[in-house]
Amino acid sequence: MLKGFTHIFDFFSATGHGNSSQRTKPGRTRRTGLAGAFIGAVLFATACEMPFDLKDSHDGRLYIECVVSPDSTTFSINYAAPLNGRRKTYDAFVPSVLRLTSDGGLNLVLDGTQCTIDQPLSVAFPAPLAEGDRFTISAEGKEPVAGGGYSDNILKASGTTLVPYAPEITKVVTETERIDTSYLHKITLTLDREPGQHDFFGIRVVRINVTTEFTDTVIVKPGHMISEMALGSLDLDEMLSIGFEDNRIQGEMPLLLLTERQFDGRVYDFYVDAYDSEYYYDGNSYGMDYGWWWVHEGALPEIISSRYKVQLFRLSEEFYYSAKAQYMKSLDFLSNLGLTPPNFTYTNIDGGLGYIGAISLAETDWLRFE
Amino acid sequence: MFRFTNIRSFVRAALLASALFCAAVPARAQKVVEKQDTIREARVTAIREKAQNSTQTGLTRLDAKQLKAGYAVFGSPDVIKTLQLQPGVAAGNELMSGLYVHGGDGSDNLFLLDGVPLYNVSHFGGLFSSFNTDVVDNLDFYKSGFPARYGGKMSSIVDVQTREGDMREYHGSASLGLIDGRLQFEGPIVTDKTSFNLGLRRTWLDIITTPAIAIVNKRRGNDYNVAGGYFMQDLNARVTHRFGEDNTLDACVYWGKDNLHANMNDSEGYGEQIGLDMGVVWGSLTASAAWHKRLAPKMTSTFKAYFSQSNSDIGYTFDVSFKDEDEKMTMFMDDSDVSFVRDLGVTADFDWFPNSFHHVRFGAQAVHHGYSSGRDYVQKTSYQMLEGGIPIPGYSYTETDKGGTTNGYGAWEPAAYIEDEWFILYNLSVNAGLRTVLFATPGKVWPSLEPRAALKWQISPVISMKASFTHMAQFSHLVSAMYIDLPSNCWMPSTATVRPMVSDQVAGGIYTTPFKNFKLNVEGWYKTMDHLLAYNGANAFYPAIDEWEKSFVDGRGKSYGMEVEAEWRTRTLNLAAYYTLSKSLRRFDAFYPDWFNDRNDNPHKLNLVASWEFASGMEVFLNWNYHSGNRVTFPTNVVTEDGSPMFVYDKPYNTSLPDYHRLDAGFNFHKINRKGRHIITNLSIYNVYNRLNAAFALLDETPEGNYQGLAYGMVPIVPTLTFQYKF
Repeated sequence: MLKGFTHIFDFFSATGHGNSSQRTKPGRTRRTGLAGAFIGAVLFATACEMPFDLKDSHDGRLYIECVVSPDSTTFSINYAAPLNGRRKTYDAFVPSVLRLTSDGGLNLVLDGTQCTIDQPLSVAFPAPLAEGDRFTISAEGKEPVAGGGYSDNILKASGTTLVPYAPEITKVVTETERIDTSYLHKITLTLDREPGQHDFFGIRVVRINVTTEFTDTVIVKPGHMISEMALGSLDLDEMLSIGFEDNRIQGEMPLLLLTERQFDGRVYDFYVDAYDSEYYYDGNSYGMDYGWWWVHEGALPEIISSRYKVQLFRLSEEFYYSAKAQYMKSLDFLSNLGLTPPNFTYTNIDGGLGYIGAISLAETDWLRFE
Repeated sequence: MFRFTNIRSFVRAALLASALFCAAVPARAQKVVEKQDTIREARVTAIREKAQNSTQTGLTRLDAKQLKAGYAVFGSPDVIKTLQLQPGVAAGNELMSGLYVHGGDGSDNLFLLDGVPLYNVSHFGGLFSSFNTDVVDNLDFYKSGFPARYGGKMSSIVDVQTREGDMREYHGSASLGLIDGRLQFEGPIVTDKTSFNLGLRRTWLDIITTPAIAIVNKRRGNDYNVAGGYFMQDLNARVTHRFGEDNTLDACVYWGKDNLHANMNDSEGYGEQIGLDMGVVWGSLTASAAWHKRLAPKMTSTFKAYFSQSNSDIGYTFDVSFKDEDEKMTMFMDDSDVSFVRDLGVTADFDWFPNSFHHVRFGAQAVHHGYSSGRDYVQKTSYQMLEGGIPIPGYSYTETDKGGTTNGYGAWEPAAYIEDEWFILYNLSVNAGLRTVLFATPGKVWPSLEPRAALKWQISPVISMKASFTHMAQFSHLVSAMYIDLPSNCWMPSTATVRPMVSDQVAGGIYTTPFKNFKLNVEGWYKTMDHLLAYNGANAFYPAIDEWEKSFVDGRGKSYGMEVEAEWRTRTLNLAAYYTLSKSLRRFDAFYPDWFNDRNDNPHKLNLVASWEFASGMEVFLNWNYHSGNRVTFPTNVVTEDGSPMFVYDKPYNTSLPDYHRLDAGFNFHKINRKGRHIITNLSIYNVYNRLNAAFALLDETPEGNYQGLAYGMVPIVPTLTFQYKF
């Protein structure tokens, strides 16, 4: 029963106000989270647990994560052990052949590279890729078997992606709005053309604050970029946010996922809320909550000036779906209850699992608000 | 019951039946809404023979007696739960009103109540269906071979007819079940001219919970008050007036309402004041007037005007304040979500028997649909940091967050159809039909040409083979993120960007009566569905209504399978077995770039039914229901990085829950009291052997490091005692 309650709170975190990078204002999302938690609590409180075997057979697969951009390419390869096997008895995984090719002339073959079951092969390298280039990754490896050793089967997995063209931001407008006693900074972006059904974006803002307390530059990443007032919508799809660091879907640095839905023609606007952010300072991440500041500094630092830079990524379709699938994992509990449609389980790796996607970045100049 | 000993006698009988059929037309003028190939006085026989002797595939006919037979969940016989037991139908979540027919998505069933479309067909989130069996006369349930006179949904037709009131005597019944009560009353308004039939239902749980909550409040003191409750009620009314032998007027009304409300006030604590007021009201209203007229000796007609609306209103306010020496905070939230779907339509239907070889049906309809869903909210928050009870400048803020949107559409749907049941040879008949529809929505007109065809070959007097093909289109879409019928769901039309859902289905089988009282039918189907919609957002309860067209992804479905029906019926003993072997698949590229199992893909389904009148006035019913488990999405692989497991999915609905099975039993005890009144006591036991079937499941890691599923079951044995008093 305890596991059930744990899942309720997992769900609550996922939809309400989970990690700080996805923190939102109370309201719609919190209401949804409360409602879901309530239903979940009722269900678990009245349910009885019954273990059952996972009869459906699943094979071990190669798991590939690969993000390609004109500047760099990052990939990792690991062994995805079947859940209906005995995970803890697996030996090291040996990828025997890795091949990376691209239109730009890259033809890299790694042979005999070894990684362990707990440590994937992870490589980042500058890639001489241009927008529009096709990039392909393929890998083979021997599958570890339960009890030690390797099977004779050679796993094969491959995937391909196209490097998208960077979005073109033709106009940027900044303004400050006063809502009751709050001041909100609004940024309006205009693109060169109206996004279509197959256009996907990721967006985030870098802010540099100069405060009375710090001599170093403080980099601010917005944890809550969009006010619900701007949404006109009750859909959490508007809030899809993943962690994206070091060219991988990981970490805490948020990337808000956008589709054409969030654009009004060529225009996308959003708010930057100074009171709901996460700070990066001296390479460490700190949640911007009063408690931390009271404990460590005794008072909130006074911000003297701020500068903002918008990073707008164009995402390949497969990257978008992969990222969204990462977010949606947290909702599989509801899906299995029949309370949501099937989970996104996106993979574009033939013969394996994982994803290969591509991004291209456009940045604004440093922006200031008066 | 006719028995044919050779082909010649069968031919004679067939011709005689045709002649009788035509001759029976004048006699049927008083009730021309009755099924055209069913003579009222011979209905039971006709129903039994129907599957073998008509071209129709995939049809189940149930009369009132069959609907009321057996167990009654929580005391009320339920139309949809009866249909869930039919082969080829998946029920979805236990105890809910899901009806997933031949791989359908549950929103694609056309429910007709006296010929009027009904959008919201359940109460209490699906626990009860909207059809009161006290007033239902019969229903036709089509899973394939849809006649051309039906359209608008693509997976099934549930055509429910209520019973007209008795033209000579007053009588009725009163029933009391576990959580609801029913009242039915009928009789003449003008003897042999005008009659009425009235049915009422209401749950009475709130009558118990209200005083119980009051007692709890009193014990907790004056600072804490909580109130709330739920009830549903519905009304069916039908008035029939006969102007003469050739003219009948029917007026029918259905009104159903669910009301869920709760409020709470709490001032106990440390300066806290909390107030919550929530109300959810949803329901349906239909009204129709139908004029049945004989236009010629061999032609009857029905002209109908109707109104149908389903609506929901969800609202709540939440008010909380907190104050102590250091700070003061108040928050107020107000929310209102209102939606409806509304139809206003006229229809004209004609039945024509030009000769003994043709039965032609044709007609037209014009319907205006209105769809609307609006959501408004406001949230005000204020915060003050205090020092000595005085706000500190610069440490206070007030925020107002409000918004809302309403999305509404109007759409016209004119349609026309023609179908002919043509007896080509004594052993060969065809039903060929065509339905044409235009769905005009702002900015787009969707045309649909829907051919329908069915063929029957009578191999011998006791064996026939049939095949059918249908093309169906659906222009109304259920905007819902869930598989549960909740008032937050709403309906929206096909638009310029959302295409109509369409299905193509072929079905065929062999239908036999090898022995007296024994029927064995084997039927198969293959069905494809295009432009299915699936919500692809992350919000479980409120899909974005302002941009709902972009919140759903387009996909495909296919389903195929085989159904076997074996029935042995005698006067006192009925035994039946229904088995389904099926596959139901989906493809939504946004979810997974290949086909995957549907959530309700239950490859095996077996239903064993027995009813026995073992003594005068005493009946027993048994029903054992088995099917493969519903499917869930489980991680299939685990990637370990730095000692931390990361679960990976291969595709949606990749795991099957444990098999589902349960036994239900019902006992009817009939008694006639000294005043000649009929008293029925029904004892129903749902889930006799108390198997907790899995409703959902989670992944669990054992101490040994293995993974297993952990299923959660919720519905135990539910005994119910119901009393019915007929007067």
